[in-house]
Amino acid sequence: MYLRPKTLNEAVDALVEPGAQVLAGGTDFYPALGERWISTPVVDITTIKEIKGIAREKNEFRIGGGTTWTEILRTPLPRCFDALKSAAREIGGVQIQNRGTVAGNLCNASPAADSVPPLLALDAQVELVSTSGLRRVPLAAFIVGNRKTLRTAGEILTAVIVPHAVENASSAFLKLGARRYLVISIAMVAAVVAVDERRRVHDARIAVGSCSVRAQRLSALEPALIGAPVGAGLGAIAMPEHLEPLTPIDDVRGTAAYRHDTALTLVRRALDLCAGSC
Amino acid sequence: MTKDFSIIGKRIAMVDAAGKTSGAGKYTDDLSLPGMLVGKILHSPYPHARMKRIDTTRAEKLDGVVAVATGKDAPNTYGILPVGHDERALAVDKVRYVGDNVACVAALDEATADRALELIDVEYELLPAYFDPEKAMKAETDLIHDNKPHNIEKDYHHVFGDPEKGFAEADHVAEARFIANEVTHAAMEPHSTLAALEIDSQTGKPGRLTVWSSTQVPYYLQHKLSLVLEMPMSQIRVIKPLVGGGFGGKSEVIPLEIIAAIAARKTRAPVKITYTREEVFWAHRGRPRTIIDLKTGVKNDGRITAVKARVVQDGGAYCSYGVVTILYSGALLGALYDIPNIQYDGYRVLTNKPACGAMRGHGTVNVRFAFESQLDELAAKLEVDPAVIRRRNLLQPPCVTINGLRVQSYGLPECIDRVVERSGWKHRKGKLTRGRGLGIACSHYVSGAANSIIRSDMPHSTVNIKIDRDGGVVVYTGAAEIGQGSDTMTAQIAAEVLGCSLSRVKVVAADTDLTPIDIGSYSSRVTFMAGNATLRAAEEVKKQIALAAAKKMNCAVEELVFRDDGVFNSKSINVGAGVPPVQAPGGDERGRSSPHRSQDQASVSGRVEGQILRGSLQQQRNEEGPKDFMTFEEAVVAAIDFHGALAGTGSYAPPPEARGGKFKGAGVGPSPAYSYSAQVAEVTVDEDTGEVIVHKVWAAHDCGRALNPVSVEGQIIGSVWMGMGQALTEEMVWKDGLLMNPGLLEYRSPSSVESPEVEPIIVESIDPEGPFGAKECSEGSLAATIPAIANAIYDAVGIRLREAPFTPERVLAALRAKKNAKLLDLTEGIDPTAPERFREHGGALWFKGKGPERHASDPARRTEQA
Ligand SMILES: Cc1cc2nc3c(=O)[nH]c(=O)nc-3n(C[C@H](O)[C@H](O)[C@H](O)COP(=O)(O)OP(=O)(O)OC[C@H]3O[C@@H](n4cnc5c(N)ncnc54)[C@H](O)[C@@H]3O)c2cc1C
Repeated sequence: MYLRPKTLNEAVDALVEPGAQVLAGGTDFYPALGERWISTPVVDITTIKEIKGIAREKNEFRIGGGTTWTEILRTPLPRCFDALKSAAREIGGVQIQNRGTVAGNLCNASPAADSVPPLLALDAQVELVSTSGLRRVPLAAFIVGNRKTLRTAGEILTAVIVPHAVENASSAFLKLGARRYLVISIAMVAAVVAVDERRRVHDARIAVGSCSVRAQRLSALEPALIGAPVGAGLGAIAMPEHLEPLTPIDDVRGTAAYRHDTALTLVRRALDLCAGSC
Repeated sequence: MTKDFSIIGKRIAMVDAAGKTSGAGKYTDDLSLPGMLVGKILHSPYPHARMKRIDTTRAEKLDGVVAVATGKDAPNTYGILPVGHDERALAVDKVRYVGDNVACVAALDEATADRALELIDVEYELLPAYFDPEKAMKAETDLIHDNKPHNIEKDYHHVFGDPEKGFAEADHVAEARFIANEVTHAAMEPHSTLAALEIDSQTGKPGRLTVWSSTQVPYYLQHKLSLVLEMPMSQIRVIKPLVGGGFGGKSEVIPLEIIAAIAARKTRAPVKITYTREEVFWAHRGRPRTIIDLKTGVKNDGRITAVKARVVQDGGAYCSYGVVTILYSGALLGALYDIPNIQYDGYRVLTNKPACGAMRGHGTVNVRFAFESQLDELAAKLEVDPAVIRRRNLLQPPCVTINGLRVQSYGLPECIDRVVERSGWKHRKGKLTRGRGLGIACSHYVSGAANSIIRSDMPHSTVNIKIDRDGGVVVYTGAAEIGQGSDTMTAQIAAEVLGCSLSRVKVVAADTDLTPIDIGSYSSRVTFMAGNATLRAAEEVKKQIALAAAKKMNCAVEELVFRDDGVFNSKSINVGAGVPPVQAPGGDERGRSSPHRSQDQASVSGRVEGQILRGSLQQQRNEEGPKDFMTFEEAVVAAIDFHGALAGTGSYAPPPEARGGKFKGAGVGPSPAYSYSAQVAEVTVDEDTGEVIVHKVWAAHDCGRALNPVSVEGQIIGSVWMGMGQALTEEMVWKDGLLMNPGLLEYRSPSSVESPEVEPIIVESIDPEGPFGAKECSEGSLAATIPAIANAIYDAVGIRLREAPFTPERVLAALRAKKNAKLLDLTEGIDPTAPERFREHGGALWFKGKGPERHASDPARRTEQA
């Protein structure tokens, strides 16, 4: 079975079919099949308008789950989204960015998904819709492990919700890969830093990806930054012990030791970048 | 220097460019025939196992399956080297690597073929497998091939001069182990073969076999097909359509080429097999992981006194080109510089991984990386400029090296001088900002092997030329265009000799029914050998034209000059000063000389619509009587009228003096001429992440004469780029014989974004035996890039990297080690312990479901089933 519904309602109805899978840009879906042929019903959601585009609503920003990376790059957004845009620019190459979607990246839940650290740093939530209704889940809770999420089979990720809170904070994203484009991250870091009128940090969020089964906020580092003067040297506050929660692995892209080592470098640099643009 | 030529030395667009750039050109996978079936291959899921039983009945019964072929259908062994006939198209008793070929389904469509693969039942008995060459070499039991004790395919032990004495005389000795990890060609076009059997019109039995294949070696393919299928070569026709890159990966017979033919014979229908990208990785035949223990002695002035190398190559499960590779590694160690004493111990070892074979710079690259790095170390120790230490060890040609290689033309000194000058070496080296550095290295390569791999006295290249009455020139050559420009080179040489425009020349290449034997496109032999054969064939037809023209023009043959689409009497016309006005001769910007009136009549393939043209010219000639000039068509018509037909043959065999010494293994290394390269690389190193950026490479290459400079530059740039891939990012990562990165996402060739600016510098030493003085230009540059980058990293941050590629983490580990800080234990390279993590993008999934069970010792495969 292959369906391409036009509306969200039709789509969630179709998903009731046992084993049915959602197909968006297909840039994770097809590679994951390897040499196998599709054996399950497929619901292609690429023509559903309701889940596309970015809107500024009263209390929050709403990024449609079906929004592509290219669309994110081309939409004017507040500074706190700079990190997300940098991530968008480095996901695969231009062809991948034209097809790949936000929801696809989050639902696929690879430890190396580039959009997760920037969205974690923005305290994003995801909105899930199924025939039994709508629910919202914090992104930090949504991704539970390597390729594991709280999404149930009948749910469509319709939007990513970002609160206005740190709208004017500066943000940065750094990705380390063995090639500039078309490369899966060895490690990546997103930082969001908000300053008060005395140019001291009053809010800081730092998330690291590819260094544990799911990307993580550095909860020990964030409070340590509060009150620090913004300027050169902000990055130097980050210390190896702040990265202790990370549990990187050895794989074809890099060893655990290397990931641990360079994650610290990336965290420091991301903070310095934020400080430089505050 | 090139002003005497009208086509040679000009910047000419490739003659096959239009088809490739417009998409009209046909590669093998673009071809199809009525009733064509799809072939799919069942590969071994185990690295080393005995096949106890294979049952194809369930697969055969599947609707849409026409036949299933197994090893029984064609059990003869073959291999590219006569000494290495150890492969079977489909296994009969044993499989020797994950990916080895077990059976082939021919079905109406791909989905059916895929499904049928899962219905083939194979019972395996697992055998201990060898993945580390140094361990494999010690094995006594469970050998990969029964006739290869200790899994050693071949070992050689060469001593030239007196190395011990040489080391005793040295003021400084450096000794170290270098490792270059395994890399593969990653040509854009995956291997593809279409095979069709004609039905004999008299007997109704299967008759002639035609095979279209993505190959660099049509003649060898014809030969091996004949061997395995037990058919006479005359019954087999191999045609090479456009090829999308080879780099050595298509320079031998790849299993699918024979399997397609077996399936076509069994089904009596055309069968096409195209490898998936993953299968291309398993077919491999790339550059082996090489362990090099190198020792070099020098005097205080930098003169080398002795070199000793022990080289171990992890060759994979079959011989392939291995014996040649291990010999090249030794032979070309001693032919770049003047080295008085050499000891070489080379071991080609079998392991349970896909076979390694020939890859751009065959056998020379990894050893060159080690040698040029060590020379740099010694220069630093002696406080001699690294460019100067190289200049102090030059050969003095014409000469014969200590290991018997004849050197005639030698542009290395000029290459060094040019890159030193262009890079600002003297005032910039060692003086750049922190983290930024310059490095220099040299390399060289053969212009074809002087001894062919098949034991035969036949010429290595033969070319036929036929000229039609309208002046259309057809060149028949067996040389295989694989994107390197072989067809363009052939057309250029023929046109230059005949003095006709390039557009007249049509090249018919690489069709064994039509073209004479050429042993193929490998070892950078085509320009030198097929070029010389073309030159000779053209000279032969030219002689015939001259004979007839001289009669018509009432002059001596010697007085004739062929150029600008005409034949001139040099006595009456000052050729250099200009041509009669009717000619409106050419040589436009791009070097296409434009014959009169043929501009709009000539097609890309060079055919001239000649009927009307010829009639009118003939008339003109009759009216005007003898003269000082004939058009090319007039002269051709005169010659055909005189001789009956206009055809000529030329061939090339390397001269005996170029064929090397007499010791065991002396056959590999000798070449009629060697190319030389020197490069300077400029890099920066990020000292916190270990990332290396190559900013610019100055690459000088002595190609004898640049027949087509734009093509030479393209080859230099491509070599640098490919060398940079091996230097920084490309590496095949294995776990228990399973390739962890069989896709272009995780096998990381550099992209255009990482490509540095490359300044190609052409050096022309005009070789006495090359066609118009030309030598090779497609491989030699690659080997210099890796050590140039390594040496630049040393200049930038003071670390010596002895294991390639210089990934960020190896660089960082070296930096940390240097700072005596936290030492990362990375000496054994990357050990990917959690393979499921990178299954996500075209990982190791391809054989999923195609074997009855997973390789039991791999936990990743166990969890996958959960
Ligand atoms: C060559 C290449 C390079 C890549 N490089 C990167 C990179 O650098 N960084 C990176 O992070 N990723 C990379 N990716 C992965 C991929 O492109 C991204 O994760 C992309 O965002 C996936 O989006 P998609 O729309 O293509 O998802 P799909 O492939 O269509 O879907 C992925 C998964 O999510 C599910 N899904 C999709 N949309 C929804 C929805 N709205 N609701 C519920 N479930 C849904 C699907 O069922 C499927 O399981 C790369 C992929 C390729 C092929």
